[in-house]
Amino acid sequence: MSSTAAGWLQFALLVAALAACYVPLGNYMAKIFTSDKDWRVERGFYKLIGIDRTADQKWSVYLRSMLAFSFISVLFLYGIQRVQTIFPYDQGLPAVTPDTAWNTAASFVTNTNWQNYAGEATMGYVTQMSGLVVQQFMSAAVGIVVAIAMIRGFTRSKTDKLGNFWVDVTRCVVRLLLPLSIVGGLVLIAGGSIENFNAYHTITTLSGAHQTIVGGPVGSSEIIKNMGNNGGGWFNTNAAHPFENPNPFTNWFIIFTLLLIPFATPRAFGKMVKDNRQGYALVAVMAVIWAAAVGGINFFEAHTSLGGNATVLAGHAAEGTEVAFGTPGCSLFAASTTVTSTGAVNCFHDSLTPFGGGIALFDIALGEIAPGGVGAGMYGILVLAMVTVFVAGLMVGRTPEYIGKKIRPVEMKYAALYFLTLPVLVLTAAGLSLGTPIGQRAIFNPGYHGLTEVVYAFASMANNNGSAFAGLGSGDAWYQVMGGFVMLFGRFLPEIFALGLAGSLARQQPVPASAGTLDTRTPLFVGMLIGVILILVGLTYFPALALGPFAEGLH
Amino acid sequence: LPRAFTGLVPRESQEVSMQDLLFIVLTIVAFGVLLLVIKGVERFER
Repeated sequence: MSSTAAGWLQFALLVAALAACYVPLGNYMAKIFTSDKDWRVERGFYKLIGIDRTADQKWSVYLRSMLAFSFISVLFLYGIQRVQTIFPYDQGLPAVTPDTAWNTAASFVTNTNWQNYAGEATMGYVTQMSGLVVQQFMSAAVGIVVAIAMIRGFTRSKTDKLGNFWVDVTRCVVRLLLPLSIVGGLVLIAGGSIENFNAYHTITTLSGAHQTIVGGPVGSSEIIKNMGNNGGGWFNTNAAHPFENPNPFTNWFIIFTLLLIPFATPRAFGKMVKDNRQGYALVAVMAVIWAAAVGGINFFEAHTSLGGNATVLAGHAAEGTEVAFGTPGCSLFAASTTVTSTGAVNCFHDSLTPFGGGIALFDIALGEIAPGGVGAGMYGILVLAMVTVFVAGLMVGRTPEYIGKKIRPVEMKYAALYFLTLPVLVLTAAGLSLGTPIGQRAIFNPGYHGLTEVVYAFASMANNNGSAFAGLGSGDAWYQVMGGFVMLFGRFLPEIFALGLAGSLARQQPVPASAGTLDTRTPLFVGMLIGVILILVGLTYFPALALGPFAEGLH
Repeated sequence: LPRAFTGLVPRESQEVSMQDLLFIVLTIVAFGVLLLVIKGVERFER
């Protein structure tokens, strides 16, 4: 079987597996967040931290709880890295430097997992396990519960209460992320990911050279890295490292796990709003954009004439590709990791062909809504669905309503603020980096490629993806500090506007569908929503895309 | 994600310093701004 055929077979198996999980996992997620019953372990936890689980929170209180939790998490994670030498299993590594520790703390708390360090040479085992991996669970849970709170904006009426943040987060971790991670982690370990506490040791190779063999409880962290759409690898080479991702089966399974929750969330949405067809419409939009991204990157990585002299000589875009997975395995992974907010990689995105890399950048610029990050993709696409309904109302005179709630000017202001936040952050930070000596000194590639690297870096950080184009000295103080702010604001500002919007929706009285209501469950609406997404993102980022990857590809 | 040119050489350790204070202050500033935005949105809501 050719590697291209194997790649498409993997894609077909992914579609089948995700389709099989859509209903049961989505229903289960909806049940988690609508059930009145608490598990004993949850009750014990509420007692421990002094939470009244029956207290519903207004949207702004929900947000403040989330921010307080994240603030403490940043400081805690920063502290762990700075004193890691006092922990066992530190592998003799020194304390992490303050700028890297802060950037990493902001990165992991915001679900970005941008890494300005090489994991095996910077973080001891305890730092990884009790700091980074804990945040991989918690940041994923925060994203999911914000989406759930937003869905409650549609399901509730004449109230400004959206649930209890502490209850939602606890349930999300205890009932969803932990059980899935235990099962998935065992699969990865059985598949060959390492799981040990061995000290690093040096061996002499047959040629007489010395090589350091690293270790760590990798399999158990690899699963939440992907299932929580985090992406921060135990090792510097991430999922291209054979201890993280040893073979084509684990490669397929990792891609499956990073798509699993985002693709099942629309079902939970449909279930919660009591109209499953609404969920099908949104998941159709996500699937079309994901499939287009996979096809696009595959096309450009396989067509050597478009990739320059090196790819012509190699027969395919081989540079930076892990040979165990091949170009199709790389393309499938690259597309899936950038349409979600995962950011894990099994090949070097800097080595993708200009148009292939351009698609990866475009995927991230979409705001990661197809299917997007865990939770973040759901609230992102809901905001865009409301924009679409509003645009349709302007175009054809339909009443702008979505799931029984009117889309009034106040909701559109929230949606506009939500949508504008990320481009403002990305383009301002990239512009300052490209236009000032302090930003330019860390750009190693001149011309179009250097511009793409900078835009990609800030798009990745602001959208909480975390994958890197590289070729950028992002360990420089400018990128450490600017990146930290971009990640924090890129994560929390859209969540503020999304929950403000949800609060506004929850206060409304539901309106029954009439002859003037646009049916948002039809293929027509699916097409309109795809069009609105592509036009909005295309117009916003066109100059950057034209000057970067497009210009490089056409050069 | 993996950074090119970062290499595998551990960077030098630093003792607790003024930089730690600086980054704690930066964290407070960032979250303070976010709280102010929430306050602004609440005012807009009214």
